[in-house]
Amino acid sequence: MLPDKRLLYLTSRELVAFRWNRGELQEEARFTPGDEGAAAFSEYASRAQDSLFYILADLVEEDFFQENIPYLRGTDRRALLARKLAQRYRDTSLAMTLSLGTETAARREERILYASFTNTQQFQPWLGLLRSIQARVAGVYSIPQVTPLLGKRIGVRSRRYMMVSLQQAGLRQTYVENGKIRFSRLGKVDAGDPAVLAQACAAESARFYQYLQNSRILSRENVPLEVIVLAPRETRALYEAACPSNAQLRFCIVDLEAARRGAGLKSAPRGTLAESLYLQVTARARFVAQFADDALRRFYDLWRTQVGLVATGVSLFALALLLSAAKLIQAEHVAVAARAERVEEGAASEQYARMQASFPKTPVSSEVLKVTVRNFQVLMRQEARVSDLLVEVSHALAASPQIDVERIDWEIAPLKRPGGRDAAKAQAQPVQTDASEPRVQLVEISGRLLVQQASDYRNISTVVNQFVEALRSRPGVEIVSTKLPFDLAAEKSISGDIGAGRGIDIPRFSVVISRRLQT
Amino acid sequence: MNIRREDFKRLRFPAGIAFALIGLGMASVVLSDQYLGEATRALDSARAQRAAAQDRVSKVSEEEREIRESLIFYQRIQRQGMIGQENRLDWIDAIARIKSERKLFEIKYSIEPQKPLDYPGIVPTKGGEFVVSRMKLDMLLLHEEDLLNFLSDLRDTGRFHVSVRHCTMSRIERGAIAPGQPLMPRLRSECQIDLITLDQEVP
Repeated sequence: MLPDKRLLYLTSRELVAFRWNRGELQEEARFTPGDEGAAAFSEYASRAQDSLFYILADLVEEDFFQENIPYLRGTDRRALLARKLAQRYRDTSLAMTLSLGTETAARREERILYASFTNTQQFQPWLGLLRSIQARVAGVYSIPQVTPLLGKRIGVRSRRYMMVSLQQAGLRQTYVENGKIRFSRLGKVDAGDPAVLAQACAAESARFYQYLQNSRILSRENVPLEVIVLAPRETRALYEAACPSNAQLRFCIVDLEAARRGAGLKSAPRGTLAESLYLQVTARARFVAQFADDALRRFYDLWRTQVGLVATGVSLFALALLLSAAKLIQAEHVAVAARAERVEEGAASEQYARMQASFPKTPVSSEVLKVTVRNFQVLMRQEARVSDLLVEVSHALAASPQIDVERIDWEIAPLKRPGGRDAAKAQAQPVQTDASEPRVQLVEISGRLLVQQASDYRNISTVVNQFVEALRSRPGVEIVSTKLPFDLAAEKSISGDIGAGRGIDIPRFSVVISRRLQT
Repeated sequence: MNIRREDFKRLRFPAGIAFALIGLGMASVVLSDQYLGEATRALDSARAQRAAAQDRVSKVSEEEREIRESLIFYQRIQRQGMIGQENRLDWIDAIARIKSERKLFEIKYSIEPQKPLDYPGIVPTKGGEFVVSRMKLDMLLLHEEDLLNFLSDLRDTGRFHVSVRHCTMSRIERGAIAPGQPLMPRLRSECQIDLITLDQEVP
């Protein structure tokens, strides 16, 4: 729950305390300078210790000064502005700076408005008491500082204008340009006679205009300066009569009651003048600058830090709850989907069970049966009858009478190319054999050649080749290697005995054939 | 604002609230995340089970056909007498009987200890493992048909599956046999034969 706002309107004569409650301004107490007023204020402030205090000062002793500084940012700018304030004012405890924008002439510069209350003694009794009870002072503001915001609230559209209003402190004239305060003054007037007051308003406006021009705060333009006069409804006619527009000034009389409604103030305490409007704006506005230093605002800043911490915690907690809620909703949707999946799965399983009941009975579980049969099929693919390939050899031998077989080696082995039986044997040894590797029946036929002369290489070669061709012609038979009794390769030596009779050497040969297993 | 040491006392309580709320929030996020994760995993599991069940249903006719085909092969295995514990005495008797019936010369054999069949592509399975007893066989032959007949008869005994892995036949001696002389072996064979059975309880 947010604390109450207490608005303290400070003039040279008194301090008036208001309570801001949902758009309504309620006057609570008046305190005059002195011990009695200080004691009463101390008691009042102690009762309202948890409130936020906004001090709106309406004093004559408020100085305004404009100056250009080099365009800086960050700590350099802050240090420069603090130094400038210290150079200009003896006491900077209630001083502030306001940026009026940048100017790019010879070099880029920033226009700064320096403002300070030059007599801070008027504040000290009240501020000292607030400090002593550790009150949360949100800031110290001045009527001129609030004027541009009030102008926006009541719908002033002019780029530059003069706001004239009558408060308890006197007649306040404030010059605003581009939404920023440039200068202000507070004059004493006789508030008793409305006609005199209206005439004073016109006269003071003309004088103020002259001062602004002489001090070059207001540039000379052909357009007349708009003067917004906040006048009580009952005396508005007097003001309109007393303030005729001319070449320099164009008066616009605004009904104070209408201005209050336009600014959103539901009710104002009886007897208050325009200060109720300024107080209302102060209660609602967010200021970029104010007069109080960090020491005065310490407990307000602490409160803001406390609120910030809790607000951060609450915000993150709320965010986490939202995130959690979103996840839980998502989880609920997922759970619903999972339930639907399980229902479908159950239905499918039941359907499968019904259909499975019509399956033939198996001696073992269907899985074991399938694997067993699959293994058996693998086994069948890896075997062959010895007779299969021997029959083919027999057919080839029938057509080759000069071949005398001495030895036949038959085996089932993985097919390796190129290379002969020895290579195939060597490579058949690996522990792991790939199931996809084609396997073959491998037969090595070793024998002798029944020829007249062992050195009749051509004849021997012809006989062996005929035998090999006979083998090759058999269905599915492939020749893996052929080994003759001699080597005709150019890099090897060869010798012979032409013309001699039949020698005792018997030429020998070997042929390796293969045939793929049935798949 | 510069926070002083004494300010920490004032900030302790709201900071505690903030941290407690943040902690609660994080806990709620973690818990809800876990809940969502579990729900998602349950959905994935249910989805996979549903898909598997529907897949089974869609393939039920194919599975039935596969079972029927498997049964045909299984009956073939049964007919071969491969199923059950091996009986080596029967095997030896069978070899002796073949030798006697075929009037074969000398037969030497040695059977190695039984072990799981390790042919490429064979998948080990519980409840139906093929096992092999490797036999080395030395025979003296009059001619090569003696060996082929022996192998054929061995297959026909119906006690096991016969898978010949290697065989060598070589000539012993040469020359013509004089009339009246007793028949002498002319060939020697050395073979490696796998006797394969299916280690499964006979249904």
